[in-house]
Amino acid sequence: MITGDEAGFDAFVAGRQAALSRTAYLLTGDHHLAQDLVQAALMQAARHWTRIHTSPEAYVRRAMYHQNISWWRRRRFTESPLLGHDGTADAVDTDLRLTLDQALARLTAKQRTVLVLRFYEDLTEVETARALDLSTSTVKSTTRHALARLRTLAPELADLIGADA
Amino acid sequence: MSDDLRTRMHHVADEVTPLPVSADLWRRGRAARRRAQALAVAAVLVFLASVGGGVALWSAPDREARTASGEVPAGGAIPSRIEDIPEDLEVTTDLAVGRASVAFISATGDPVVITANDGVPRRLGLPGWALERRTLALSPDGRFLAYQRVDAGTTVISRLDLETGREEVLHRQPGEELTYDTLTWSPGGEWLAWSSSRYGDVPAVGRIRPGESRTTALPFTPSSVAVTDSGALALTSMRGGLFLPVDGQRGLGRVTTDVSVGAFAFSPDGHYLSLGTEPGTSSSTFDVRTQEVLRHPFPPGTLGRSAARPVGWLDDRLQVLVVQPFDGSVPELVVTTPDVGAASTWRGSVGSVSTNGIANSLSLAVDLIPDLDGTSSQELTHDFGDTAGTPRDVSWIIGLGVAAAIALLLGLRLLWRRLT
Repeated sequence: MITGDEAGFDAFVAGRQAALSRTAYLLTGDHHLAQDLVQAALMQAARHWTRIHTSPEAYVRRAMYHQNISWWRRRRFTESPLLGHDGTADAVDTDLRLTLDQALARLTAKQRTVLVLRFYEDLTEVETARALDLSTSTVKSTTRHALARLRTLAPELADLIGADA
Repeated sequence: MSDDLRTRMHHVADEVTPLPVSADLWRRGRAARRRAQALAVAAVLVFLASVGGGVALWSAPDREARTASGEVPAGGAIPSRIEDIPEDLEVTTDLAVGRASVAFISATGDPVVITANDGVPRRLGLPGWALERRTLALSPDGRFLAYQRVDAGTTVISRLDLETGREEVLHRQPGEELTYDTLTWSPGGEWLAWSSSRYGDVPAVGRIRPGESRTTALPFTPSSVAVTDSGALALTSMRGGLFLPVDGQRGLGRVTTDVSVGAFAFSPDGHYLSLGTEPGTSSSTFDVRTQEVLRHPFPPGTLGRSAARPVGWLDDRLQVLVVQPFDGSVPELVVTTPDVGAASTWRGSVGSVSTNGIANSLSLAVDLIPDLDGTSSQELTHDFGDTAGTPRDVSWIIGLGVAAAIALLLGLRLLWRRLT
Protein backbone atom coordinates (compact mmCIF):
# COMPACT_ATOMS: atom_id res chain seq x y z
CA MET A 1 0.00 0.00 0.00
CA ILE A 2 1.36 3.41 -0.90
CA THR A 3 1.24 5.85 2.00
CA GLY A 4 0.91 9.61 1.76
CA ASP A 5 4.57 9.98 2.68
CA GLU A 6 5.67 7.60 -0.05
CA ALA A 7 3.52 9.37 -2.59
CA GLY A 8 5.04 12.68 -1.54
CA PHE A 9 8.55 11.24 -1.85
CA ASP A 10 7.78 9.80 -5.29
CA ALA A 11 6.39 13.14 -6.43
CA PHE A 12 9.48 14.93 -5.18
CA VAL A 13 11.79 12.50 -6.97
CA ALA A 14 9.82 12.75 -10.20
CA GLY A 15 9.79 16.54 -10.07
CA ARG A 16 13.37 17.22 -9.05
CA GLN A 17 15.29 14.25 -10.45
CA ALA A 18 16.52 16.16 -13.48
CA ALA A 19 17.74 19.17 -11.51
CA LEU A 20 19.45 16.99 -8.93
CA SER A 21 21.10 15.00 -11.73
CA ARG A 22 22.54 18.16 -13.24
CA THR A 23 24.02 19.30 -9.95
CA ALA A 24 25.34 15.83 -9.15
CA TYR A 25 27.06 15.64 -12.53
CA LEU A 26 28.76 18.98 -12.01
CA LEU A 27 29.84 17.92 -8.52
CA THR A 28 31.36 14.62 -9.61
CA GLY A 29 32.16 15.02 -13.31
CA ASP A 30 31.09 11.45 -13.93
CA HIS A 31 27.68 10.04 -14.82
CA HIS A 32 28.00 6.90 -12.73
CA LEU A 33 29.25 8.73 -9.66
CA ALA A 34 26.54 11.33 -10.14
CA GLN A 35 23.91 8.61 -10.23
CA ASP A 36 25.32 7.08 -7.03
CA LEU A 37 25.37 10.50 -5.41
CA VAL A 38 21.74 11.25 -6.26
CA GLN A 39 20.62 7.83 -5.06
CA ALA A 40 22.54 8.07 -1.80
CA ALA A 41 21.10 11.50 -1.07
CA LEU A 42 17.54 10.42 -1.94
CA MET A 43 17.86 7.37 0.26
CA GLN A 44 18.91 9.56 3.13
CA ALA A 45 15.92 11.75 2.41
CA ALA A 46 13.63 8.71 2.52
CA ARG A 47 15.08 7.79 5.90
CA HIS A 48 14.32 11.17 7.36
CA TRP A 49 11.27 12.03 5.28
CA THR A 50 8.89 12.69 8.16
CA ARG A 51 11.27 15.36 9.43
CA ILE A 52 12.19 16.99 6.13
CA HIS A 53 9.13 16.53 3.93
CA THR A 54 8.21 20.22 4.08
CA SER A 55 11.46 21.24 2.33
CA PRO A 56 13.21 18.14 1.08
CA GLU A 57 15.25 19.74 -1.68
CA ALA A 58 17.50 21.73 0.60
CA TYR A 59 18.17 18.58 2.62
CA VAL A 60 18.93 16.46 -0.44
CA ARG A 61 21.26 19.03 -1.93
CA ARG A 62 23.12 19.46 1.32
CA ALA A 63 23.44 15.68 1.58
CA MET A 64 24.88 15.58 -1.94
CA TYR A 65 27.47 18.26 -1.21
CA HIS A 66 28.68 16.56 1.95
CA GLN A 67 28.51 13.04 0.57
CA ASN A 68 30.59 14.03 -2.42
CA ILE A 69 33.36 15.54 -0.30
CA SER A 70 33.17 12.63 2.12
CA TRP A 71 33.57 10.07 -0.67
CA TRP A 72 36.55 11.92 -2.01
CA ARG A 73 38.17 12.11 1.41
CA ARG A 74 37.68 8.45 2.04
CA ARG A 75 39.21 7.63 -1.32
CA ARG A 76 36.69 4.99 -2.09
CA PHE A 77 37.13 5.85 -5.67
CA THR A 78 39.65 7.70 -7.77
CA GLU A 79 38.54 10.58 -9.88
CA SER A 80 39.42 10.44 -13.54
CA PRO A 81 39.06 12.98 -16.31
CA LEU A 82 35.85 12.68 -18.25
CA LEU A 83 36.41 11.31 -21.72
CA GLY A 84 33.87 11.90 -24.45
CA HIS A 85 30.36 11.72 -23.07
CA ASP A 86 27.42 12.89 -25.10
CA GLY A 87 28.46 14.82 -28.17
CA THR A 88 25.28 16.51 -29.29
CA ALA A 89 26.68 20.04 -29.34
CA ASP A 90 28.57 21.49 -32.26
CA ALA A 91 32.29 20.87 -32.60
CA VAL A 92 33.63 24.12 -31.13
CA ASP A 93 31.25 24.04 -28.20
CA THR A 94 32.06 20.41 -27.49
CA ASP A 95 35.76 21.18 -27.35
CA LEU A 96 35.17 23.94 -24.86
CA ARG A 97 32.74 21.88 -22.80
CA LEU A 98 35.18 18.99 -22.59
CA THR A 99 37.92 21.36 -21.54
CA LEU A 100 35.77 22.73 -18.76
CA ASP A 101 34.76 19.21 -17.70
CA GLN A 102 38.33 18.03 -17.67
CA ALA A 103 39.54 21.07 -15.79
CA LEU A 104 36.79 20.70 -13.18
CA ALA A 105 37.71 17.04 -12.78
CA ARG A 106 41.25 18.04 -11.80
CA LEU A 107 40.03 20.08 -8.84
CA THR A 108 39.50 18.62 -5.40
CA ALA A 109 35.94 17.69 -4.47
CA LYS A 110 35.84 20.60 -2.07
CA GLN A 111 37.00 23.09 -4.69
CA ARG A 112 34.57 21.71 -7.27
CA THR A 113 31.70 21.75 -4.80
CA VAL A 114 32.36 25.36 -3.87
CA LEU A 115 32.48 26.41 -7.53
CA VAL A 116 29.24 24.58 -8.30
CA LEU A 117 27.49 26.21 -5.39
CA ARG A 118 28.79 29.67 -6.21
CA PHE A 119 28.47 29.69 -10.00
CA TYR A 120 25.86 27.07 -10.82
CA GLU A 121 23.58 27.18 -7.79
CA ASP A 122 24.17 30.95 -7.54
CA LEU A 123 24.60 30.86 -3.78
CA THR A 124 26.32 33.74 -2.03
CA GLU A 125 29.53 33.15 -0.12
CA VAL A 126 27.62 33.18 3.14
CA GLU A 127 25.04 30.71 1.85
CA THR A 128 27.77 28.45 0.46
CA ALA A 129 29.60 28.53 3.77
CA ARG A 130 26.40 27.61 5.60
CA ALA A 131 25.61 24.76 3.19
CA LEU A 132 29.08 23.23 3.55
CA ASP A 133 29.64 23.99 7.24
CA LEU A 134 32.66 26.11 6.36
CA SER A 135 33.68 29.62 7.28
CA THR A 136 33.07 32.39 4.78
CA SER A 137 36.81 33.02 4.55
CA THR A 138 37.39 29.37 3.66
CA VAL A 139 34.79 29.64 0.91
CA LYS A 140 36.51 32.76 -0.38
CA SER A 141 39.96 31.25 -0.39
CA THR A 142 38.74 27.95 -1.83
CA THR A 143 36.99 29.81 -4.63
CA ARG A 144 40.10 31.84 -5.32
CA HIS A 145 42.32 28.78 -5.40
CA ALA A 146 39.89 26.79 -7.52
CA LEU A 147 39.63 29.54 -10.13
CA ALA A 148 43.38 30.02 -10.16
CA ARG A 149 43.83 26.30 -10.68
CA LEU A 150 41.29 26.34 -13.48
CA ARG A 151 43.23 29.11 -15.14
CA THR A 152 46.43 27.09 -14.80
CA LEU A 153 44.92 23.84 -16.00
CA ALA A 154 43.03 25.31 -18.89
CA PRO A 155 44.46 28.63 -20.09
CA GLU A 156 41.91 28.58 -22.89
CA LEU A 157 39.25 29.10 -20.22
CA ALA A 158 40.81 32.31 -18.96
CA ASP A 159 38.26 34.38 -20.84
CA LEU A 160 35.47 32.53 -19.10
CA ILE A 161 36.98 32.81 -15.67
CA GLY A 162 38.34 36.31 -15.71
CA ALA A 163 41.73 37.48 -14.57
CA ASP A 164 40.61 38.95 -11.28
CA ALA A 165 38.43 36.09 -10.17
CA MET B 1 33.47 37.89 -13.44
CA SER B 2 32.43 34.57 -14.28
CA ASP B 3 29.11 35.25 -15.85
CA ASP B 4 30.63 33.32 -18.70
CA LEU B 5 31.75 30.54 -16.42
CA ARG B 6 28.30 30.54 -14.87
CA THR B 7 26.70 30.31 -18.29
CA ARG B 8 29.08 27.61 -19.40
CA MET B 9 28.41 25.53 -16.32
CA HIS B 10 24.71 25.79 -17.03
CA HIS B 11 25.34 24.64 -20.58
CA VAL B 12 27.30 21.65 -19.32
CA ALA B 13 24.60 20.81 -16.81
CA ASP B 14 21.77 21.28 -19.29
CA GLU B 15 23.19 18.51 -21.43
CA VAL B 16 22.90 16.00 -18.61
CA THR B 17 19.92 13.75 -19.03
CA PRO B 18 18.05 12.85 -15.83
CA LEU B 19 19.95 10.03 -14.17
CA PRO B 20 17.87 6.94 -13.42
CA VAL B 21 17.30 6.17 -9.78
CA SER B 22 16.24 2.91 -8.23
CA ALA B 23 12.50 2.42 -7.92
CA ASP B 24 12.75 1.01 -4.41
CA LEU B 25 14.61 3.93 -2.83
CA TRP B 26 11.70 4.65 -0.52
CA ARG B 27 11.50 1.07 0.70
CA ARG B 28 15.27 0.88 1.22
CA GLY B 29 15.39 4.22 2.98
CA ARG B 30 12.60 3.30 5.37
CA ALA B 31 14.16 -0.11 5.99
CA ALA B 32 17.43 1.61 6.83
CA ARG B 33 15.55 3.87 9.23
CA ARG B 34 13.97 0.90 10.97
CA ARG B 35 17.35 -0.79 11.25
CA ALA B 36 18.85 2.37 12.69
CA GLN B 37 16.07 2.61 15.26
CA ALA B 38 16.53 -1.03 16.22
CA LEU B 39 20.26 -0.50 16.54
CA ALA B 40 19.69 2.56 18.69
CA VAL B 41 17.48 0.54 21.02
CA ALA B 42 20.06 -2.23 21.10
CA ALA B 43 22.81 0.27 21.78
CA VAL B 44 20.92 1.70 24.74
CA LEU B 45 20.40 -1.77 26.13
CA VAL B 46 24.05 -2.65 25.59
CA PHE B 47 25.03 0.54 27.31
CA LEU B 48 22.84 -0.22 30.29
CA ALA B 49 24.16 -3.78 30.44
CA SER B 50 27.75 -2.52 30.18
CA VAL B 51 27.25 0.00 32.96
CA GLY B 52 25.76 -2.69 35.17
CA GLY B 53 28.55 -5.10 34.32
CA GLY B 54 31.16 -2.43 34.78
CA VAL B 55 29.90 -1.71 38.28
CA ALA B 56 30.03 -5.42 39.04
CA LEU B 57 33.53 -5.65 37.61
CA TRP B 58 34.72 -2.61 39.53
CA SER B 59 33.48 -4.01 42.79
CA ALA B 60 35.07 -7.42 42.21
CA PRO B 61 38.07 -7.99 44.52
CA ASP B 62 40.26 -9.79 41.93
CA ARG B 63 40.06 -7.16 39.23
CA GLU B 64 43.79 -7.12 38.58
CA ALA B 65 43.92 -10.83 37.94
CA ARG B 66 41.76 -10.51 34.86
CA THR B 67 44.32 -8.70 32.73
CA ALA B 68 46.87 -11.19 31.53
CA SER B 69 49.57 -8.62 30.82
CA GLY B 70 49.12 -6.77 34.08
CA GLU B 71 47.85 -3.31 34.89
CA VAL B 72 48.72 -0.30 32.78
CA PRO B 73 51.28 1.77 34.69
CA ALA B 74 49.95 4.97 36.25
CA GLY B 75 50.05 7.74 33.66
CA GLY B 76 49.98 5.28 30.77
CA ALA B 77 52.53 3.44 28.69
CA ILE B 78 53.87 3.08 25.18
CA PRO B 79 52.32 0.05 23.46
CA SER B 80 54.68 -2.83 22.72
CA ARG B 81 53.23 -3.12 19.22
CA ILE B 82 52.69 0.05 17.21
CA GLU B 83 50.50 -0.74 14.23
CA ASP B 84 48.83 1.20 11.49
CA ILE B 85 45.12 1.90 11.82
CA PRO B 86 42.40 0.14 9.82
CA GLU B 87 41.29 2.25 6.86
CA ASP B 88 37.74 2.42 8.18
CA LEU B 89 38.69 3.61 11.66
CA GLU B 90 36.29 6.38 12.60
CA VAL B 91 37.64 9.93 12.78
CA THR B 92 37.81 11.32 16.32
CA THR B 93 36.47 14.86 16.31
CA ASP B 94 36.50 15.40 20.07
CA LEU B 95 40.22 16.07 20.37
CA ALA B 96 40.29 15.89 24.17
CA VAL B 97 41.39 12.25 24.00
CA GLY B 98 43.81 12.40 26.92
CA ARG B 99 47.57 12.09 26.92
CA ALA B 100 49.04 10.06 24.10
CA SER B 101 51.98 7.70 24.07
CA VAL B 102 52.56 7.60 20.32
CA ALA B 103 51.83 9.80 17.32
CA PHE B 104 52.38 8.95 13.68
CA ILE B 105 50.98 9.49 10.20
CA SER B 106 49.03 6.54 8.88
CA ALA B 107 49.40 5.03 5.42
CA THR B 108 46.26 6.95 4.49
CA GLY B 109 47.98 10.22 5.45
CA ASP B 110 45.94 10.79 8.59
CA PRO B 111 47.26 11.98 11.96
CA VAL B 112 47.05 9.19 14.53
CA VAL B 113 47.70 9.15 18.27
CA ILE B 114 47.57 6.18 20.61
CA THR B 115 46.17 7.18 23.96
CA ALA B 116 48.49 6.40 26.85
CA ASN B 117 46.05 4.88 29.32
CA ASP B 118 44.29 2.39 27.06
CA GLY B 119 46.55 1.92 24.02
CA VAL B 120 43.69 2.76 21.67
CA PRO B 121 44.62 4.28 18.29
CA ARG B 122 42.64 7.35 17.29
CA ARG B 123 42.46 8.94 13.86
CA LEU B 124 42.33 12.63 14.75
CA GLY B 125 40.17 15.05 12.80
CA LEU B 126 42.67 17.90 13.19
CA PRO B 127 41.27 21.18 11.87
CA GLY B 128 43.04 22.19 8.68
CA TRP B 129 45.14 19.01 8.40
CA ALA B 130 46.27 18.68 4.80
CA LEU B 131 48.05 15.89 2.99
CA GLU B 132 50.67 18.24 1.62
CA ARG B 133 51.54 19.45 5.14
CA ARG B 134 52.07 16.16 6.89
CA THR B 135 54.26 17.02 9.85
CA LEU B 136 53.50 16.41 13.49
CA ALA B 137 55.36 15.94 16.77
CA LEU B 138 54.18 14.60 20.12
CA SER B 139 55.67 16.26 23.18
CA PRO B 140 57.85 14.06 25.44
CA ASP B 141 55.13 14.00 28.12
CA GLY B 142 52.44 13.07 25.60
CA ARG B 143 50.22 16.04 26.35
CA PHE B 144 50.75 18.24 23.31
CA LEU B 145 50.64 17.49 19.62
CA ALA B 146 52.28 20.04 17.33
CA TYR B 147 51.28 20.28 13.68
CA GLN B 148 50.97 22.84 10.88
CA ARG B 149 48.02 24.12 8.93
CA VAL B 150 46.83 27.05 6.86
CA ASP B 151 44.57 29.54 8.55
CA ALA B 152 43.10 32.51 6.67
CA GLY B 153 46.06 33.05 4.36
CA THR B 154 48.74 32.35 6.95
CA THR B 155 50.66 29.19 7.73
CA VAL B 156 50.58 28.41 11.42
CA ILE B 157 52.17 25.95 13.80
CA SER B 158 49.59 24.85 16.32
CA ARG B 159 49.87 23.07 19.62
CA LEU B 160 46.92 20.85 20.48
CA ASP B 161 46.40 20.07 24.16
CA LEU B 162 45.23 16.45 24.07
CA GLU B 163 43.81 16.68 27.59
CA THR B 164 41.53 19.65 26.96
CA GLY B 165 41.20 19.50 23.17
CA ARG B 166 42.14 23.19 23.01
CA GLU B 167 44.48 24.44 20.33
CA GLU B 168 47.00 27.24 20.61
CA VAL B 169 48.73 28.87 17.65
CA LEU B 170 52.43 29.13 18.49
CA HIS B 171 53.72 30.62 15.28
CA ARG B 172 52.09 32.43 12.39
CA GLN B 173 53.65 33.38 9.08
CA PRO B 174 51.79 35.14 6.24
CA GLY B 175 51.41 33.14 3.05
CA GLU B 176 50.20 29.68 2.16
CA GLU B 177 53.21 28.57 0.11
CA LEU B 178 55.39 28.05 3.18
CA THR B 179 55.71 24.54 4.58
CA TYR B 180 57.48 23.33 7.68
CA ASP B 181 59.50 20.21 6.90
CA THR B 182 60.22 19.12 10.47
CA LEU B 183 58.86 19.84 13.93
CA THR B 184 60.85 18.69 16.99
CA TRP B 185 60.38 19.14 20.73
CA SER B 186 63.22 19.82 23.13
CA PRO B 187 63.89 16.93 25.58
CA GLY B 188 61.72 18.48 28.30
CA GLY B 189 59.10 19.90 25.96
CA GLU B 190 60.09 23.51 26.71
CA TRP B 191 60.67 24.46 23.09
CA LEU B 192 59.42 23.38 19.71
CA ALA B 193 61.91 23.68 16.84
CA TRP B 194 61.03 23.78 13.16
CA SER B 195 62.83 23.74 9.85
CA SER B 196 61.62 24.92 6.49
CA SER B 197 63.22 24.66 3.09
CA ARG B 198 61.02 27.50 1.87
CA TYR B 199 60.32 30.20 4.42
CA GLY B 200 59.48 33.15 2.26
CA ASP B 201 62.44 33.35 -0.11
CA VAL B 202 65.02 31.50 1.97
CA PRO B 203 65.43 28.31 4.01
CA ALA B 204 65.11 28.84 7.74
CA VAL B 205 64.92 27.21 11.15
CA GLY B 206 63.32 28.48 14.31
CA ARG B 207 62.35 27.79 17.89
CA ILE B 208 59.05 28.64 19.50
CA ARG B 209 57.18 28.40 22.75
CA PRO B 210 54.06 30.21 23.91
CA GLY B 211 54.70 33.93 23.54
CA GLU B 212 58.22 33.59 22.22
CA SER B 213 59.62 32.88 18.79
CA ARG B 214 62.98 33.19 17.05
CA THR B 215 63.69 32.56 13.38
CA THR B 216 67.08 32.12 11.73
CA ALA B 217 67.43 32.42 7.95
CA LEU B 218 69.93 30.04 6.34
CA PRO B 219 72.10 30.08 3.22
CA PHE B 220 71.46 26.34 2.70
CA THR B 221 68.56 23.92 3.03
CA PRO B 222 68.20 22.26 6.44
CA SER B 223 67.22 18.60 6.69
CA SER B 224 66.61 18.48 10.41
CA VAL B 225 66.71 20.61 13.52
CA ALA B 226 66.97 20.04 17.27
CA VAL B 227 66.71 22.28 20.29
CA THR B 228 67.81 22.01 23.90
CA ASP B 229 65.57 22.89 26.84
CA SER B 230 67.58 26.12 27.18
CA GLY B 231 66.65 27.04 23.59
CA ALA B 232 69.94 26.35 21.78
CA LEU B 233 69.34 25.29 18.21
CA ALA B 234 71.35 22.83 16.14
CA LEU B 235 70.68 21.66 12.63
CA THR B 236 71.80 19.44 9.81
CA SER B 237 72.06 20.31 6.15
CA MET B 238 70.75 18.29 3.25
CA ARG B 239 74.35 17.29 2.56
CA GLY B 240 74.68 15.71 5.98
CA GLY B 241 76.61 18.53 7.65
CA LEU B 242 76.09 19.11 11.38
CA PHE B 243 75.86 22.68 12.71
CA LEU B 244 76.00 23.46 16.43
CA PRO B 245 75.89 26.63 18.52
CA VAL B 246 79.29 28.24 18.95
CA ASP B 247 80.21 29.20 22.52
CA GLY B 248 79.95 32.91 23.12
CA GLN B 249 78.47 33.65 19.71
CA ARG B 250 74.97 33.82 18.33
CA GLY B 251 75.68 31.88 15.17
CA LEU B 252 76.11 28.22 14.35
CA GLY B 253 79.34 26.54 13.39
CA ARG B 254 79.85 23.47 11.25
CA VAL B 255 81.23 20.44 13.04
CA THR B 256 83.35 17.97 11.14
CA THR B 257 82.24 14.39 11.62
CA ASP B 258 82.94 11.18 9.74
CA VAL B 259 79.22 10.40 9.43
CA SER B 260 76.44 11.88 7.36
CA VAL B 261 73.84 12.98 9.86
CA GLY B 262 70.09 12.84 9.32
CA ALA B 263 67.59 13.49 12.09
CA PHE B 264 68.98 13.95 15.57
CA ALA B 265 67.97 14.77 19.14
CA PHE B 266 69.63 16.47 22.12
CA SER B 267 70.02 14.69 25.45
CA PRO B 268 68.29 16.48 28.36
CA ASP B 269 71.60 17.97 29.59
CA GLY B 270 72.55 19.01 26.06
CA HIS B 271 75.83 17.07 26.18
CA TYR B 272 74.93 14.46 23.58
CA LEU B 273 73.21 14.35 20.22
CA SER B 274 71.54 11.11 19.27
CA LEU B 275 72.20 10.80 15.54
CA GLY B 276 70.19 9.35 12.73
CA THR B 277 72.75 8.00 10.31
CA GLU B 278 73.23 5.99 7.15
CA PRO B 279 72.54 2.23 7.36
CA GLY B 280 75.11 0.44 9.50
CA THR B 281 75.56 -1.97 12.37
CA SER B 282 75.84 0.48 15.23
CA SER B 283 74.10 3.53 16.65
CA SER B 284 75.93 6.86 16.64
CA THR B 285 75.94 9.66 19.20
CA PHE B 286 77.78 12.95 19.04
CA ASP B 287 79.51 14.11 22.23
CA VAL B 288 79.12 17.88 22.19
CA ARG B 289 81.93 18.44 24.70
CA THR B 290 84.62 16.34 23.03
CA GLN B 291 83.24 16.83 19.50
CA GLU B 292 83.54 13.09 18.88
CA VAL B 293 81.13 10.61 17.37
CA LEU B 294 80.57 7.69 19.78
CA ARG B 295 79.36 4.35 18.49
CA HIS B 296 77.48 1.53 20.14
CA PRO B 297 77.59 -1.58 17.91
CA PHE B 298 74.48 -3.72 17.79
CA PRO B 299 75.25 -6.79 19.96
CA PRO B 300 75.99 -10.03 18.06
CA GLY B 301 72.86 -11.96 17.15
CA THR B 302 70.57 -8.95 17.34
CA LEU B 303 70.26 -6.51 14.47
CA GLY B 304 71.96 -6.63 11.10
CA ARG B 305 72.57 -3.69 8.83
CA SER B 306 69.94 -1.14 9.82
CA ALA B 307 69.07 2.54 9.72
CA ALA B 308 68.52 4.20 13.08
CA ARG B 309 66.42 7.27 13.81
CA PRO B 310 66.42 8.92 17.25
CA VAL B 311 63.04 9.50 18.89
CA GLY B 312 64.16 10.84 22.28
CA TRP B 313 66.07 10.29 25.50
CA LEU B 314 65.00 8.54 28.72
CA ASP B 315 67.64 10.38 30.73
CA ASP B 316 71.06 11.94 30.15
CA ARG B 317 72.59 8.64 29.01
CA LEU B 318 69.82 6.48 27.56
CA GLN B 319 68.46 7.24 24.14
CA VAL B 320 65.52 5.67 22.30
CA LEU B 321 65.94 4.79 18.63
CA VAL B 322 63.62 3.36 16.05
CA VAL B 323 65.77 0.94 14.07
CA GLN B 324 64.75 -0.14 10.59
CA PRO B 325 66.54 -3.38 9.53
CA PHE B 326 67.43 -3.79 5.89
CA ASP B 327 66.60 -7.50 5.90
CA GLY B 328 62.89 -6.70 5.68
CA SER B 329 62.01 -7.44 9.30
CA VAL B 330 59.81 -4.96 11.10
CA PRO B 331 61.31 -1.83 12.66
CA GLU B 332 61.86 -1.99 16.39
CA LEU B 333 62.47 0.32 19.31
CA VAL B 334 65.91 0.15 20.92
CA VAL B 335 67.15 1.76 24.15
CA THR B 336 70.90 2.27 24.29
CA THR B 337 73.75 4.25 25.80
CA PRO B 338 76.02 6.27 23.48
CA ASP B 339 78.90 3.81 23.65
CA VAL B 340 80.06 0.52 25.15
CA GLY B 341 81.49 0.65 28.64
CA ALA B 342 81.24 -0.74 32.13
CA ALA B 343 77.81 0.80 32.67
CA SER B 344 76.51 0.59 29.13
CA THR B 345 73.06 -0.64 28.20
CA TRP B 346 71.56 -2.02 25.02
CA ARG B 347 67.94 -3.18 25.03
CA GLY B 348 66.52 -4.36 21.72
CA SER B 349 62.94 -5.20 20.79
CA VAL B 350 61.55 -2.79 23.35
CA GLY B 351 58.64 -2.41 20.97
CA SER B 352 57.82 -3.16 17.37
CA VAL B 353 56.59 -0.82 14.65
CA SER B 354 54.55 -2.44 11.91
CA THR B 355 55.78 -0.48 8.88
CA ASN B 356 58.67 1.74 7.80
CA GLY B 357 56.11 4.39 6.89
CA ILE B 358 55.03 4.67 10.52
CA ALA B 359 58.63 4.50 11.73
CA ASN B 360 59.54 7.50 9.57
CA SER B 361 56.86 9.70 11.13
CA LEU B 362 56.93 8.18 14.61
CA SER B 363 57.02 10.40 17.64
CA LEU B 364 56.97 8.99 21.18
CA ALA B 365 56.11 10.31 24.63
CA VAL B 366 59.45 9.03 25.96
CA ASP B 367 58.59 10.19 29.49
CA LEU B 368 56.27 7.17 29.69
CA ILE B 369 59.14 4.69 29.46
CA PRO B 370 60.07 3.72 33.04
CA ASP B 371 63.52 4.09 34.54
CA LEU B 372 65.57 0.95 34.03
CA ASP B 373 65.77 -1.28 37.10
CA GLY B 374 68.86 -3.15 35.94
CA THR B 375 67.12 -6.37 34.95
CA SER B 376 66.83 -7.55 31.38
CA SER B 377 63.25 -8.77 31.87
CA GLN B 378 61.77 -5.40 32.79
CA GLU B 379 58.95 -4.34 30.45
CA LEU B 380 59.58 -0.86 29.07
CA THR B 381 56.42 -0.92 26.98
CA HIS B 382 53.02 -2.42 27.62
CA ASP B 383 51.00 -5.09 25.83
CA PHE B 384 47.53 -3.59 25.61
CA GLY B 385 46.19 -6.61 23.74
CA ASP B 386 43.76 -6.15 20.87
CA THR B 387 42.96 -2.47 21.04
CA ALA B 388 41.49 -2.29 17.57
CA GLY B 389 38.39 -4.09 18.77
CA THR B 390 36.60 -4.25 22.10
CA PRO B 391 38.70 -3.92 25.23
CA ARG B 392 39.51 -7.43 26.38
CA ASP B 393 38.42 -7.27 29.97
CA VAL B 394 34.86 -6.06 29.23
CA SER B 395 34.18 -8.02 26.08
CA TRP B 396 32.20 -10.66 27.91
CA ILE B 397 29.98 -7.97 29.41
CA ILE B 398 29.30 -6.47 26.03
CA GLY B 399 28.65 -9.93 24.62
CA LEU B 400 26.11 -10.57 27.34
CA GLY B 401 24.57 -7.16 26.72
CA VAL B 402 24.22 -7.83 23.01
CA ALA B 403 22.68 -11.21 23.70
CA ALA B 404 20.25 -9.64 26.15
CA ALA B 405 19.38 -6.93 23.65
CA ILE B 406 18.73 -9.44 20.89
CA ALA B 407 16.58 -11.53 23.23
CA LEU B 408 14.62 -8.46 24.25
CA LEU B 409 14.12 -7.36 20.65
CA LEU B 410 12.93 -10.82 19.67
CA GLY B 411 10.55 -10.77 22.63
CA LEU B 412 9.21 -7.36 21.64
CA ARG B 413 8.76 -8.54 18.06
CA LEU B 414 6.83 -11.56 19.23
CA LEU B 415 4.69 -9.40 21.47
CA TRP B 416 4.06 -6.96 18.62
CA ARG B 417 2.93 -9.78 16.34
CA ARG B 418 0.53 -11.07 18.92
CA LEU B 419 -0.96 -7.65 19.49
CA THR B 420 -1.42 -6.83 15.78
